[in-house]
Amino acid sequence: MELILFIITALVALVSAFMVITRRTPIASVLYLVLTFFCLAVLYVMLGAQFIAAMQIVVYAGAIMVLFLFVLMLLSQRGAQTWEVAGPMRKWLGFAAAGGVLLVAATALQSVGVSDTVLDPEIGTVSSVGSALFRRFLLPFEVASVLLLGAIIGVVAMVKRKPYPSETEEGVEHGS
Amino acid sequence: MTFNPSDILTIVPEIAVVALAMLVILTELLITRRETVLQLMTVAGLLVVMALAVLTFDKAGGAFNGMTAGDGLSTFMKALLAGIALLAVLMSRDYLTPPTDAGGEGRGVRHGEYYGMLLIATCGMMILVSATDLVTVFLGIETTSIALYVLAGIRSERARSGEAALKYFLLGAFATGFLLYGMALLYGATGGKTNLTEIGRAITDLGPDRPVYLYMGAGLVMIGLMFKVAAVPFHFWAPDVYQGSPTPVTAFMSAGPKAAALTALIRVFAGALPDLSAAWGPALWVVAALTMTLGNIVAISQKDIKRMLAYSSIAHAGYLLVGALAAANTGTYNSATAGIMFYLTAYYLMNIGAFTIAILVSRARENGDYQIDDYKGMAALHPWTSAAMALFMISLAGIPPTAGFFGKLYVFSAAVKAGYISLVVIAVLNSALSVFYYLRIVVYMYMQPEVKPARVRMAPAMALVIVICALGILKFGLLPGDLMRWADRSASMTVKPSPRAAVALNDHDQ
Repeated sequence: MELILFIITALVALVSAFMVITRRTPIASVLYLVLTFFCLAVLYVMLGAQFIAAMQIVVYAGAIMVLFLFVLMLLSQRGAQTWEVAGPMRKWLGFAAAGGVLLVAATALQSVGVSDTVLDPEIGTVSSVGSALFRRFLLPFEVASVLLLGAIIGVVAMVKRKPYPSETEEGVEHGS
Repeated sequence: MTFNPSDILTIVPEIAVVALAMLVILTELLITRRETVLQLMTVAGLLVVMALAVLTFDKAGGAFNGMTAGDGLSTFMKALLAGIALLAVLMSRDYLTPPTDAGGEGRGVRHGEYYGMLLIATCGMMILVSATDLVTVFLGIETTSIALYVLAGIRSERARSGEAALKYFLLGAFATGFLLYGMALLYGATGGKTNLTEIGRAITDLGPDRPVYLYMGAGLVMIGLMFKVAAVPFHFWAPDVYQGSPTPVTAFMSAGPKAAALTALIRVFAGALPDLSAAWGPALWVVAALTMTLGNIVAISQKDIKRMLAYSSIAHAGYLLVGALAAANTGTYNSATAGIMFYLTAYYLMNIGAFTIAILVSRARENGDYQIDDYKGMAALHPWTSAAMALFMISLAGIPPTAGFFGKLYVFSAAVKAGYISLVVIAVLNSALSVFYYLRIVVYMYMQPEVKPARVRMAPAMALVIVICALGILKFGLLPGDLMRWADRSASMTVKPSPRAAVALNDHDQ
């Protein structure tokens, strides 16, 4: 039963990941990416990582993808919705880079080996993630809050209306 | 694994910097358009942070389950970073509020946010210099970078500033990807370790048959850090970003993040990966040689002083990498690290001094340009400013009796002791080459007839920065003993996360 479920979700994940990079319209790519993320979430649950599965849906499939869609819908104009086709040189470079990444993953897998050892079933639960976050990773957790604070202030500082309108020639078109 | 309240002592400077950042931002909401108050507040706060960094000196050992270390190296660097931020804040206000008849440069920036971002970047760098775990290394780099992206583009009414921010952001995000992928591979290859000490130990335990992706991980982490240091061939962003960013930010950027990333480089490579030095040592050797040579050669042909100083900062990163290479050697670790600390202190003083004068000269020009030609004949009008600029240039070139000379002397002598003689020969030849473009400015100021005199209007805060920098360079150039002793003591107190060093760390049960 679990095997069947795994095969189905894994196949859907692979196919939709393939669709992400082959669709010509960005909106379709993004929607297929959402599907990939949902399949990954199912896989995480099967690995016993409920917390990561929930985060996958709430943060990635939810917030970030919706943001992507909104940006695409706001930005893109009619007729300009297809990707720019890269030159052959860049295509081959892309293939080479992807092949390199695959090679690294393959050597890593090969040196570890595929085994049936069951990890601690508690490792992915919300409570164990929480206790790791507030014990071992207490300092990084707090530093992350500084990082986010900086990002928020930075975004506001960069995009909000300027208090004193600028009179320089470059500033006229952007001026408020 | 329990939380130890005394751990907080090691992060007191960071807490103070973040608190100051929030205080400045909130104060601006209450008192609008009182920039002097904000600046004084930030300066006073940074002085307190510096004092706190010195006071928490030698609270050695790991804290927060090995996430951070309050050792000599990190406290020295924290004091230095607070000093960098201090001078950057001092030179910022007059840059941001130009005289009314000047060309509107720097308007439209809210000072509170500007100082706040500067302080958050400082906090990120402080976390980075004391990081002894891959997680904190990453968070430190990201906190610093995000704040710097914003600072680079904070004058968004200028196209150049926006271009600098976007370039820096895109390339920086790309470099972060490399760094993170490398860290993931290191984590996998060492069996799930993120602590630098444990990584070192795990690699020793692996013995001779190490997986290939361990090396790839180390290589990718190196690429990520090289980007932040602006070493060749990962330097392409630096000249454009340095030129487009507001000049005080450029001064801050060329001194602070470089120092912090270099410290992280020493901690990660000399500390956690000494067993792999046969692989990354030659790579670092080549990068160091390329960095200083390319930086110096391209600097010669620059016409814009900001770009010239940008390439010069690439060259200086090359000299510093020579020191980092020597620090990987157990025998010369202390002298090389102490040399780097001295060098960074000297570099910060002379670089910020030079940028301050560059701002003053550019403000005297109605178009606000940074042409090197503007310095022609300046000595006749402004003997003191010219003398200070000449001092900064001589120090940057590394001629005695300046701090720049002793910085190079200490770093290079450590590298000779470590056996990198040919690299030091390249470095010394490069220093000789750099004399050409540094002294060209001195020649322009003193020996060329003035075409259009640049009437520099001195501002008190700017004068203060120049005096501090000049006095510091002379002090450390004539009497380098005190600083060197402090650097030496700091280096010897480093928590060396090498597998052979017995460092008491709390157990990790996760």
